[in-house]
Amino acid sequence: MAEQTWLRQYVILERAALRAQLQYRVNFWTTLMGGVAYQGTQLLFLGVLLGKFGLIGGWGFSEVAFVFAMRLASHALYVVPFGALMFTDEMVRDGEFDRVLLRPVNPFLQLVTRRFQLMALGDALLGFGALAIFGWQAPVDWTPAKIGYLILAVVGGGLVETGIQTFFCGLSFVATSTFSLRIFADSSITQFSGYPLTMFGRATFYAFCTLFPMAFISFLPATVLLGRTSDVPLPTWLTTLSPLAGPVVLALGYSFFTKMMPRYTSPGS
Amino acid sequence: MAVIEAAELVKEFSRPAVLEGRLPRLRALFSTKRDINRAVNGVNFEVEPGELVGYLGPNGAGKSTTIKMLTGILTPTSGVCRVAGLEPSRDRARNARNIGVVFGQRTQLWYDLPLRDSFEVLADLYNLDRTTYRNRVGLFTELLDLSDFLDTPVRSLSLGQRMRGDLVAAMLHEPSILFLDEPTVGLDVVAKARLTEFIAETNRSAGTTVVLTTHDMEDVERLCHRIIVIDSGTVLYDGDLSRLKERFMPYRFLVLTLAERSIRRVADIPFATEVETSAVGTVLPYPDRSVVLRFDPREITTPELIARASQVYQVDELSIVDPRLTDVISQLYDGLLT
Repeated sequence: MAEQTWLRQYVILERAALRAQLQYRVNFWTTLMGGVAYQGTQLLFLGVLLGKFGLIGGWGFSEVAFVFAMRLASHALYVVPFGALMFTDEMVRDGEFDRVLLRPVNPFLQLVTRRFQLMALGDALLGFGALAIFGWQAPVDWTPAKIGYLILAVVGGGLVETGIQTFFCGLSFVATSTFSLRIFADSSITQFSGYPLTMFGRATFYAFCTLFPMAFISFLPATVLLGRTSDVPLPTWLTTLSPLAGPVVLALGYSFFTKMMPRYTSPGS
Repeated sequence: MAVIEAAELVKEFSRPAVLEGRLPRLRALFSTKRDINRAVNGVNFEVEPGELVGYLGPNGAGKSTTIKMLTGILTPTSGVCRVAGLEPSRDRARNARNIGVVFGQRTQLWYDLPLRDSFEVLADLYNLDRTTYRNRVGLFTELLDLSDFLDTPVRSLSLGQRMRGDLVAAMLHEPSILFLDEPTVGLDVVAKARLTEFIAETNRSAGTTVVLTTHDMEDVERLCHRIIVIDSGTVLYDGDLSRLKERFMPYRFLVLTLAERSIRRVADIPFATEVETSAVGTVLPYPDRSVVLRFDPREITTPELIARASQVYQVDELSIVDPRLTDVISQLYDGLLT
């Protein structure tokens, strides 16, 4: 019984999760459409807002829409492969996490494959569609280097969100119910990270770079692509390195998760 | 060499303290006080390869907590446990490849998928080659009679079917050690018999080491030579099942059914005590005509007692009954025998 690669195990488990979801056809189609509708309303709201005011924090429609599209694409990169993390808290509370620990597979890998996130496919459709459209319309002279940077930034943003959620998974081993915290994090990211974050004032902005690092999800790399780094109260080189925050936040979140895991209490007999 | 070792094993759980006085629930929200509960309190034992051990104790004794430490689910607070030379909490994934685990209360199968799919996913995860997989599933299907429901989603299985499925899932990768935590809970007589037979057979033919927790003393009598009894997190008894009975319940019962016209009288037979008929534990066919005598075979031989009893009573039928394990164990739990 040789060890398999993580990727192989991921494929095995994710395939089983997808098969399980496909058992329910009505659910499949409704959640798929729900995903598009849910994130789509966010985009519509933005359109209404900008149609009314024209500028947000000194940013025009095409610029804000671009930030927003990056956010949606990053979110898709979190939610498609890692979205099942949201069930961790429930699994830890009712003891279902036991079975994760009984299998010779990395626990994190088993958590992310707990269920296939169908709704996420809607998110992905919308996210990459919006990125293609608003990326085209954004005031950016696209070069291969800039496209490469955009890809790194979107991936990095997805990893930041994954890292934040992984941190909450770790917290669930000690706090048992982290539902409200996770919802808070999720809706904060949804509400704020698609906008020019400097408009909330300096103190809040720094908090978005450190305590709750959602500035890295799309805003900071977007300023680099849009040539607006001067708007940001950070050195330009640091802003430029912002896609690197993804692996850093994920590594921090993951190490917190593994540190907390031995404190799992396995409720029930 | 022992395949399972527990040495001074301790597990504590802490939870926010329950406060007393005014507004206890409100104050509890701001309190940092915690209550500590020692579920397992210095447990020691060793299990040799190929043994089939019953791990017994009343509810909340610490049985499941011990099993969870041995399987890598819980990290011990102090002390050491080793399973096939590995520390389960540190070497969780490697330990998982050596052991098979069944929790009667909780399934490990994919709830929405047909049983067969769960087996296939597990076979892939454990990297079994197709031939081995097919042979093993074929064998189990025959032994446990799975063919009727292999393609039924797990959510639609009966409890008995699901338990059989869980057992196969735990054994697909040919573990050398099996932990079974109340595998027969809630099963009907037929399903239980089939399962215990399978467990006994696995232990016998493959030499699989089995640790079994159960409340069902029939399971224990049918399967285990050795039992470990724990209560309040400590070991009360560790040894042979037969010796437990000898040591703690040395007596036997002589059950007499008297002839219709025989007069019941208070008999005075040396080395025998008349006890309530309920002491035997089984339902007697003629309770109003029955007399139960308790005796210690070391004091009086069975033939001698029968001879003496027939002098006193006019006997229609007689039988010798051994004390039930349940009674021995419940006395042990009650602390009457320590």
